[in-house]
Amino acid sequence: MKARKYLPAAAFAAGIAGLALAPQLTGPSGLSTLLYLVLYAGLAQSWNLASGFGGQASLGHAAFLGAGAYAASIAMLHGGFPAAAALVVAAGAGATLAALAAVALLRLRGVYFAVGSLALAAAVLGLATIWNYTGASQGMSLPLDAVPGPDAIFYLAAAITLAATAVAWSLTRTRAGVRLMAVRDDEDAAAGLGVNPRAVRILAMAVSGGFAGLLGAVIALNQVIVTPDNVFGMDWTVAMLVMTITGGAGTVVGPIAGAFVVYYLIQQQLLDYPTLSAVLSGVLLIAVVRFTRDGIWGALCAGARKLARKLPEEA
Amino acid sequence: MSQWAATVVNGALLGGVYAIAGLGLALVFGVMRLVNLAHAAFLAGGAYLTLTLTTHTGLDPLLALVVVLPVMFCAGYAVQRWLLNALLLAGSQGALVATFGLLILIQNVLTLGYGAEPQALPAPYADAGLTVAGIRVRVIYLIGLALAGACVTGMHLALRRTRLGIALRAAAADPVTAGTMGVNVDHLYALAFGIGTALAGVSGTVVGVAFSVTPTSGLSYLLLGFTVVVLGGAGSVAGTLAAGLLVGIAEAVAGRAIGGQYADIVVYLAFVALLAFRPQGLFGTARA
Amino acid sequence: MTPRTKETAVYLPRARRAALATAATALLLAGCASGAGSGSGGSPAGPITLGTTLPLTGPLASFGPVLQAGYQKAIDDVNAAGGLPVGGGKHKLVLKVLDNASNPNNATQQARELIQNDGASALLGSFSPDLNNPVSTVAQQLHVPVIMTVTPIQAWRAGNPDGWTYAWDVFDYEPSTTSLFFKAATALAPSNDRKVAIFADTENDGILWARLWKAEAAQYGYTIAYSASFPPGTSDFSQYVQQAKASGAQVLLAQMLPPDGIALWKQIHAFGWKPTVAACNKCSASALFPKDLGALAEGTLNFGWWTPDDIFPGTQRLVSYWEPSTGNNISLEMKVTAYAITGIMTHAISAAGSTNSSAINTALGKTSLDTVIGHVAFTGQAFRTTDYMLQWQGDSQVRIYPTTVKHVPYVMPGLDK
Repeated sequence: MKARKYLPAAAFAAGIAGLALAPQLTGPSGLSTLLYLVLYAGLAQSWNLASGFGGQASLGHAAFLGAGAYAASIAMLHGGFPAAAALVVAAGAGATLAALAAVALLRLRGVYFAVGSLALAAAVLGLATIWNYTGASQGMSLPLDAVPGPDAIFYLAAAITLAATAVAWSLTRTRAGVRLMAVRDDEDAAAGLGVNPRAVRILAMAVSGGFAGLLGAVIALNQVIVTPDNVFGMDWTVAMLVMTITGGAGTVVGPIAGAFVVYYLIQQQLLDYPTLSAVLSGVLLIAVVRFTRDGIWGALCAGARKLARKLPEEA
Repeated sequence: MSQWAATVVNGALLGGVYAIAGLGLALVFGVMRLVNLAHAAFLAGGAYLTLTLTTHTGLDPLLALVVVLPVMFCAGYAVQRWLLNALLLAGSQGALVATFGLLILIQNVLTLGYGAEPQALPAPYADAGLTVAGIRVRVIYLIGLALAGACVTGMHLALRRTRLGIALRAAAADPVTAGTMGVNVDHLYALAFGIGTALAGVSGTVVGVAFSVTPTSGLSYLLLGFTVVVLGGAGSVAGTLAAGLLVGIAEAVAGRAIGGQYADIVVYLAFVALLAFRPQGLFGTARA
Repeated sequence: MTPRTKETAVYLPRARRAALATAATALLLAGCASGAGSGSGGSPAGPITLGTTLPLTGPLASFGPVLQAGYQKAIDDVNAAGGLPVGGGKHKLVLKVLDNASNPNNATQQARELIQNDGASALLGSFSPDLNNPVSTVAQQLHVPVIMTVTPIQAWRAGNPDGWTYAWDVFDYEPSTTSLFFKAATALAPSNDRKVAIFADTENDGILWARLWKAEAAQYGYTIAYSASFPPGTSDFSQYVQQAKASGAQVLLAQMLPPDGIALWKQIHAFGWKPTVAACNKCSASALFPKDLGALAEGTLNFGWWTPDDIFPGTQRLVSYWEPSTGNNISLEMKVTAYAITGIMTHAISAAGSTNSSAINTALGKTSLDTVIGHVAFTGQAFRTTDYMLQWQGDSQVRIYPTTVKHVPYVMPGLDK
């Protein structure tokens, strides 16, 4: 069917329109929930870039989120930067830290890389906790008048998440994406074909870290009070990992679907029972990894394809 | 000078606990190249099981292990046999992610069951001290080290001298070939995982007696345990014990030299350097 | 969205007359004041919602339910008397509680939800600056007042250098409380060697208290013989204890988390260090401390800010109600104080004569109320509670300074002198 070709573009456009109108449609409390949904989707997507598409399952992504949050806060508090400029600084900080991490862990693969990234993130959290310039464990408080309003924060989050999704989509369409996935699937073969695995790995991590840093800055603007535990904590990494994998790692829509299922369907519906919702998330993760190939989104697509095959063909 | 001696000795003793934690991880990693992130949850789970038993029967926590260990073994066996084996076959990171899911699941189930507040396992030797050769040490650390020694020796002998142990090493080295020789690799993997889980229970109980336990107490031992695994060189049981002692000493000395707030950071960064430059550890063989 | 309603028992504070008088005056002014300023509400139509985001799970789980009990009892008492008199009618109060799992990110989001989703006219505070600073920030941004306790004032003020205007705190002021320890140590053990060992973690509280203790020691004739700083979650203190012992310090001042405190106390005993005075702040502030440590807990100090010895109108009733199940310890203090601050908030709503948040906030500023913990009036958004030193004796935390109540010596059980 000809129309099918335009489905992704149409969906994308509908998504953008929906996000643009959201503040008018939902009211302040719904907007807050939507903001977190968008933030989680964006963070999951950033993790997806490095881990899903890039094959580098990092357990330390919170470090890049935190780096962005801290960079933005330092810029605004000590440098007097306006929020927009602070975001640029944040992206740079996240990307730089991620690139450095990639270089440090360059020789590690698979589980060694995962555990190494975990240790790095723990070290970064520890450093932030004792760094007096940023208030040590007390952290920083952003000047309230420099912080944008909820609508603006939402648009920022939405724009960044859309950009990350666009990058993910481009990975499925361009040679850069092919190179990245080649390195993920068989590094030696890729090297044999002329791809530079090191450069690809570092670049992938840098882009991923940059997006995480940007979102970290948005989180800082939303929270106003930025402490080491808030922004460098393991909770963020867990969320990114669980959402991406349950949604479908290595797919474009997976992280968004995962954020929706885990944050909106599970956490928000079970607000009074956070422990129970965490139990469910754990069960879901195990079930997804055991019974599906590309997460929930992948299963949905496969199911849809099966259905489509059963329907009679249109002329 | 005797102050430094005391630091080193106590660090080494605490390293016994790290060694037990590392042993469970090392076994699973050595046999099936799987990092069991749920080890942290099994550690806490073991402590809580022991706590329940001691509260209801008044039994000493270490004696209660006699009951707790088989229970944990069975649980671990089941998890590996019916969940992780299938995922290991599929390759890639599926099994690792599943252990992560188990970690989240078990930690939160423990929170639902026991609450998040710290609970200590009661024992008369929990806060006792002893003077050995002029150095004051904690009795529970001595017990921990003794247990570590026993576990390591037992494991070493089992792997070298028993048929089961030899089959396990064969399955670890080359599962496909071992399978064609009639070795039931599925069963052996599950066995290894069960033993690893039981070992987590031992270290959890010791930690619960020495300090206290909360549903998330196991997490710090996960990173330390993996440091021990890498340092000792996966595949060397004796290496794991030595590595545990080293990590304990390093932590204590670092804390003494530069202060507790910096010591942790130094240990983490040292671990990353170890991974980057000598991933085969001190006693392992270099792999490509 | 209509909030849930609850039918429960009621209590009317004796300050009712004062409240009615103030309300009558406020009504006269309400005609001019209503509509001015931002924030929700006007003359309330139905039940009035008070919101709170508490740590019911997570590391701070022992403290959330305690605050909730205090808040709920106060609200139940008001409802039992027919409701809160506001703007000419009586209105039922509803307490909406959300569990933030001890996570400050959740606290921020939930504070916003309580105001925007659940229609809370005012907020009741959470536990500690870590959770209450984010809540105060939301209160500041959305112009909805929040009143809190168990949040040391200096750490709380540090969260907003420009000064809070919509957040109100009823608790201790750290510089005053930290000096209490030296005074109490001298009173308890007059012949101690005046050497102090400080054990503080790298959390907010730990750093602040260590800094204050170091600054104030000399004033009271004490020297810091040893100071240890470690990350929260540390469990092995072997070398710190041994160094402290070697320094000859007889006074131990600790500021750390409960699990870490329990581990430390065991190790003090194991390594044969015998401090004459031992204080464990935050770490010994729950009934789990004597439960997990048994005889080791005996004699441990912790600061308090109100005790059942301080009886005001309405206090005895609460003490009789709660003490049998809660015991005489910090949890009891927290419940009674939570009750008191709820009373302050409801009084302010009544005085404002409407649920207009700005009006409530203004009324809070004018508070001069006899509560169950004594007379409260705000200076600079805060009310400083009195500093007392408490000591674990059996399973009670008894006030031993300043007071004439007999104290017990802190002696490591089983060790020879």
